[in-house]
Amino acid sequence: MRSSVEPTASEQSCSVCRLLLPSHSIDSTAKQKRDWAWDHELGASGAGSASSTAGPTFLCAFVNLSVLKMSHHMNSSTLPTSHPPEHQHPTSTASGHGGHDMMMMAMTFHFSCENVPLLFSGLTINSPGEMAGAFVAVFFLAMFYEGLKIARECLLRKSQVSIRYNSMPVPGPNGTILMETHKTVGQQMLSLPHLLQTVLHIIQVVVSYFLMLIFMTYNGYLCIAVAAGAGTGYFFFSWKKAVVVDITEHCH
Amino acid sequence: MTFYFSDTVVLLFDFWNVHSPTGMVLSVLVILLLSVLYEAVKMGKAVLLRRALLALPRSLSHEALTDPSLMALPLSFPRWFWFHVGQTLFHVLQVVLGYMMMLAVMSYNAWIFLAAIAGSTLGYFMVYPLLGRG
Repeated sequence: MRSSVEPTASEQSCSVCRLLLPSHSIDSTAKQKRDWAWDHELGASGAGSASSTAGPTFLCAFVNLSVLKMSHHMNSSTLPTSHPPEHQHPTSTASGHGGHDMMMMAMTFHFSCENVPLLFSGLTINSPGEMAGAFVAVFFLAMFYEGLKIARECLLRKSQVSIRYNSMPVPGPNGTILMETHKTVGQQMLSLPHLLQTVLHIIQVVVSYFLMLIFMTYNGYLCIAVAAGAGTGYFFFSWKKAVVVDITEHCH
Repeated sequence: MTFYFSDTVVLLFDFWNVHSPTGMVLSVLVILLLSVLYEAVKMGKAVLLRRALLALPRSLSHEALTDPSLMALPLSFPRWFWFHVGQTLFHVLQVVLGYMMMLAVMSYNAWIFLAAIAGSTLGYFMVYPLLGRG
């Protein structure tokens, strides 16, 4: 059942051990997947992603690091006893099937409530009750994500509108001066709205990666929770977006 | 876990188990269609949003335009509301399709990957002119 695995250093230098390969490749897989989902997110959100070019790589590195840490923690927590690595190769390949199943992720959709890892090693779902709790939590996380997306867009519009109003009375009768001031005000990098947008953007990226990793578990219940949460969030928050868009279009 | 060209792959569900060239061709077609559908849904959402916005001011003009509290209440505009329900359904479809495409590409089968890219290109190329027509 349990594979005896040495912590990080020997793990990465160990090239023969077949057991360890899945966990490492899962990490790289997760990274690939994150990049892909990021593209999807960019395509989906469309507007309001002007300030989002530098974010993904940085955050990708961050999440990647945490995932790496997590997997190491999981590895070291599965085995209390540490054998010398040379000695353990035959044993791990012989009794390795159970450990393999434990570390390996499912690659097709399934509906089960047992032994479902959820983001962190401490959060493993083992009973239907826990699954129900996780369902609700994931549902609200997805709802929160949709609300955050809309809130960011509203804030962006609001700050743009205020900038425009601020620049209106400043210039004289000359039209070219008006355009100039408007541009300089709009391109301020160290302004409070932009800082707020940046912080919200970080939160949004982290939450979206979490949602993607949850979907990656291939657990049917959790996938449904993500989709239903996204739908509900969109339903309850997005009407505001349309109204705000309409108001600003009237102002034009 | 690197890209490879092969005609054996397991995609998304355990019954979608491909191990022949014809099966691979069918899977590539299905992924291509899914990708086109994703682009179409994205564009459909945008079109619905535009229609909802077009529907909104007309109904507002019958009401009092000066009262801002009326603008915040969508309950009195059933037509707009139904557009919104449609948009929500489109959004859920988009989320599900996006994740499905991601998981399919995650199989690291290069044919599937190329199908996803080609489908996205084709879908964008075909569906984008519809947006201008509104």
